[in-house]
Amino acid sequence: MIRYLKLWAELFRTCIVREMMFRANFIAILATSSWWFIMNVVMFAVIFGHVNEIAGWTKYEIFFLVGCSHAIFGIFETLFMVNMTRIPEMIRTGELDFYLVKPVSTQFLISARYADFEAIPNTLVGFAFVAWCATKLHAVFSWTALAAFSLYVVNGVVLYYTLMFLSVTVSFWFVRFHAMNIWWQLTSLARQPAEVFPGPIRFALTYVVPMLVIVNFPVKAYLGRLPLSAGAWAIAATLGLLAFSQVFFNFALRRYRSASS
Amino acid sequence: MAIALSDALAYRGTFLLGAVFSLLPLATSLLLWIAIYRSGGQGLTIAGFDLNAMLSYYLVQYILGIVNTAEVEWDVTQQIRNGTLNTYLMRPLSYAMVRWDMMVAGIAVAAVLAVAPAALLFFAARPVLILPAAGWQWGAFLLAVVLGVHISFLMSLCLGWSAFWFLETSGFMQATFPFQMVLSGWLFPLELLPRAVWAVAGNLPWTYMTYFPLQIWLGRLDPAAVLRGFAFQAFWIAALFALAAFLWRRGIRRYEAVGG
Repeated sequence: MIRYLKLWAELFRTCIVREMMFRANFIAILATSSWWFIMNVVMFAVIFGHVNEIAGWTKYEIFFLVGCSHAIFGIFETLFMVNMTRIPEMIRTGELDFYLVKPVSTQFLISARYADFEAIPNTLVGFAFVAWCATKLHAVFSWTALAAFSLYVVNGVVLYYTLMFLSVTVSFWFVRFHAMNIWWQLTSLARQPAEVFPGPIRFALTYVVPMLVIVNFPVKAYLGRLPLSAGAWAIAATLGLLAFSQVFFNFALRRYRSASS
Repeated sequence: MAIALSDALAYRGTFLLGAVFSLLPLATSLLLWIAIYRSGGQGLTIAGFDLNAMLSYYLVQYILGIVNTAEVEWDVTQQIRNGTLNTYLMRPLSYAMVRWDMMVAGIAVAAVLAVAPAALLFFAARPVLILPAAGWQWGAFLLAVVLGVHISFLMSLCLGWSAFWFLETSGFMQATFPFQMVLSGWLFPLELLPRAVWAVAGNLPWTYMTYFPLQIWLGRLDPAAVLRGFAFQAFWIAALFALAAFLWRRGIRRYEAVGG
């Protein structure tokens, strides 16, 4: 475990060095990456000029949710996004060979090889916004709430990674299938307040394809609205899916024939 | 032209898959707006949109989004960077004309393929869907769409040709992408913007890509406002055309034909 964390830190360092070689490009992205988030906040600010709540969520609760999703997807993009886009290419071109011979878990290596620092400001802006919203919520600050929130943020990132990795693994069968094409669509599902969806769809998105666990659960945990059973389910689902992704990946690897070079 | 057409047809699988998955964000925004209007009570309007107008806005925009495949900047940048632009330069046709042909063919294919999903979607949504009331609005809508597509095309050509100066433009283009999405009204109707921002944004080229046609469709503009909009579209087409021609003349001199 420690060995993997050390390896991850080293991979991280080499990525910073690489990134700094294209400095102007890097800075351009830093300057604009939160635009999308700002416009989302603007949209809800306008809407809350006309309504007092949306599906049971007040203004600052919605803002909290928007900030939280910005932060969570920011972490995912920083750590995993680039890798997820590369995996189908690795399979198609046979570059995967290079990773298979390394003496560490292949899933770990291809998932964590490249970090993307462009999304770090998103994460920071997201958390700063969440903190500001928390002061507006008239809820008394408590360490328990913060701990619960942090736990479900981590859970959300891992769960999102797992779901993306599972869809990317499908590329072993369909080399032209680019799971990342559906990334944006899934993200747009996950960032909505759960109560917007009609009952059966909400149930399916919580318990079958648990997209609504990713962002909604940390917020609900902070607000003290997460039932213990649902909370336990979320953690179990993440761990279960993570284990399954490993099994599924190893199964898929048997189909890998490298490239005819 | 025939080649461009068959090229566009080759990707119909990707096209259909993309259309199916892009229904997800459409469905979520529709559900979100339904929840919002339900919370606001009967007769709520936001920036002049009632629930049906808001839902129609997203539905028609979705269809326009499928049809409008005029984004060429990634392709253009690639060809400059790896030197495949050379093969085009040796042909007796101007590069922009070839691109334009491909764009028209792509849109023709997309429009034909979009007929069935659009009919299905509009049929399913008929209780809420607002259709243009007057005949002239249909005509004006179509004309505005055609002109809007040309604004998108010229804009993305200019973006793509910036690669003559900056070989590594992916970051730059990624950065402009969310701006373009918001300014073209993709995230929410532009009139929801704070009034001062809309006063500026309403004159920018992005407004005239899809937002202006949508306003016509929803019957939010009187004939005078429609004519003014067409004048703006014509202005932006001329301005972007001049900019594109300028970038091309300057850029082609700097072009190094890497690895050609």
